[in-house]
Amino acid sequence: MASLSIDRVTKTFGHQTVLKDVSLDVRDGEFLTLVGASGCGKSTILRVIAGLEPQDTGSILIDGGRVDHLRPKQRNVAMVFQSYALYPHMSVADNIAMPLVMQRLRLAERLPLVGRLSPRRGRVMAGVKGEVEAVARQLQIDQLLARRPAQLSGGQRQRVALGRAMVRHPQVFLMDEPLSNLDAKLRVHMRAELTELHRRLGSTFIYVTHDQVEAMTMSDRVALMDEGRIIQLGTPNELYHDPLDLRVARFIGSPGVNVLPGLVLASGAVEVCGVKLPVEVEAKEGSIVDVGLRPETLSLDAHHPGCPRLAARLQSVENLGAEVFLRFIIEAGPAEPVILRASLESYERGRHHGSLDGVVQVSVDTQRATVFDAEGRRIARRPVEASVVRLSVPAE
Amino acid sequence: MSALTTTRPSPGLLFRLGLMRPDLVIRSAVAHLVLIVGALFVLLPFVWMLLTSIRKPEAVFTAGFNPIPDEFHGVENYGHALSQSPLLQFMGNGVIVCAAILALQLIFSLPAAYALAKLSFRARPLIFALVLMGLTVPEQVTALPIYMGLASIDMLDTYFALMLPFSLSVFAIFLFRQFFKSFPDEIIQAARLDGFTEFEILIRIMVPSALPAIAAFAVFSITSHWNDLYWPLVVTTSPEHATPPLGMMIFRDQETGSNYGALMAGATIITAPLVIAFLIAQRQFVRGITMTGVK
Repeated sequence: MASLSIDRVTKTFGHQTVLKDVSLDVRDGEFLTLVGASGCGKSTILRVIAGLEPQDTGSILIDGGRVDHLRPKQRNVAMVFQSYALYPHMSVADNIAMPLVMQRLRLAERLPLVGRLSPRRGRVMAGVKGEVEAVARQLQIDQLLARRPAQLSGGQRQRVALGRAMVRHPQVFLMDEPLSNLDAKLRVHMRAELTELHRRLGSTFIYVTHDQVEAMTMSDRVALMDEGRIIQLGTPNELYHDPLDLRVARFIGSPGVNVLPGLVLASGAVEVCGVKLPVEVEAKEGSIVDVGLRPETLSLDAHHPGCPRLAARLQSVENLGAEVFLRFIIEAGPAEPVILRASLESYERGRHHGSLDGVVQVSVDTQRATVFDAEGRRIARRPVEASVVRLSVPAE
Repeated sequence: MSALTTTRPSPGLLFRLGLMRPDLVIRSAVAHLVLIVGALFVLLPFVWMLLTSIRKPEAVFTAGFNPIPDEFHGVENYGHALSQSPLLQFMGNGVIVCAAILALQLIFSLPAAYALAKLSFRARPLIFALVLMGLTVPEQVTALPIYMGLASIDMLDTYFALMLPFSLSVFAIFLFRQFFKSFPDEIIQAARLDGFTEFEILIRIMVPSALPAIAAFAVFSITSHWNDLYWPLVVTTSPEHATPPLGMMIFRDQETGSNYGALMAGATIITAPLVIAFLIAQRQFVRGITMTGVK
């Protein structure tokens, strides 16, 4: 267990700067996720922390102490790789045992034949065997110890890779997209299992993924990366409801946020598709902005007094059972549709009354709208005025 | 959807029912014919060698193409070959030289190949270019300088002289480098995190995974040096260090004259170990291929 700090790390490959002055503090026992599109530098951070790639500038600190000069094995971090990186010709038991064998036997004792001459070796190996079995039982792979990686399924290999990381009780676990090679169902299952493992071990986890669902569901905090920088660091809730950058708003959430172009009016309201939204932003009159509206901020139920409405036509329906995603083309808006999340009841009611045919009035909950300037930075809002009615909960 | 897939017969079933397309049958037949003719060309000299080795000396040059000898003269021919020449000593020399060459080649080329494939250092492109250039230099070019060098340190006509020029194989470095190049980096990184030294990564991880390539290279190396006549002829003069082909030459000149039956018996005896070794290595190939499942 340990805290970890990344202090102004820069890393360049050839002419490409992969990490641009990245700083990050990970708390002791935290589950922190680095999320971003591929090529954003998130995996490089893990490799720099592990010592597999030396950084150009900056340092890595574990529990306050610099580890830049230490070799990978001396840093006491364990890594789980996307491809699992199991040793192909060794049994599962040997794969899991390797970190301990390497730690506890001296170089001479590890030699193929000469090593057996050491009287210490037998004792050490017996201890290792016991620990390997204990870890295997924890991960429920104790039946597979004699097999080779090629004889295992993806999920089983994943567990072996976890076992190899767990057996040495590292200060920090580094996980590089460990679930991305699994099928969808197993991935959901392993998500829960990893969270449980983190809770049980209480160790510091740094988890890299391109899947925002994994980031949202598993982490204490999420750092969203783009082009070698951390754009926003916060809890999953903060990233979802309070994105500081349009890239964050777009990346987090499924289906994605609706982004509509808007024009700031004198009052601070924003005109979107010819409709005035009372969002009261602190921006100059006449500036062009982007308004982010999550699918749940749009609603079919149009009977809230004073709430702004957008005239739109229904394009397609995606029924997930408990909820329904409706795609609308806004009459005076862009060509691509906006997505609205409705409860099944609200959708059925609308369909029953025939109010989904023709032009539909879509209500907007401006309270939860986020506004970004032309560079994609979030624009602050003035304190909410009493006249604005809160519309987030549709009345049944 | 599942009903659809179960009612559709698989190609394997069609094949079993003899419903293979006629054009495929013809193509397969032509391919087999070409292969059979090729195999005959390769195998006939060996068959002839075997048949001659059990013939009477008089029958060797009789007219006509009689494949089956009238009289079995094998015992005499093989007895003659084994008793009149130190054939077993030649073969012993061959084993010593080939084994030592192979061992040295692996000891030098595997670490070099690992470094060229997986470690990054400044001179890597230059060294790899030198390796590639080394591939283009024929053995005969360096023969004279090496001969003179060996002569000046008085090491001619020794096992050392027979092994020296082949102990470092650029071909092996190139072959293993290509093989290691395709080995996943993540496994090597995992090994570094686990505390393997670079040398242990090579021995405990890379070499076991490269066994098929090592077996393939061993076949190349052993056949070429077991059968090599050129270099032993250059540096060896005494029968004590003669390798099998050179020994056969000495044997022909001195002892047998034109006793082709015995000569062929000798040839059969020195060819046999290679064939046996190859069959063993072939089994290793297959095992190696089925064992790989890195993903």
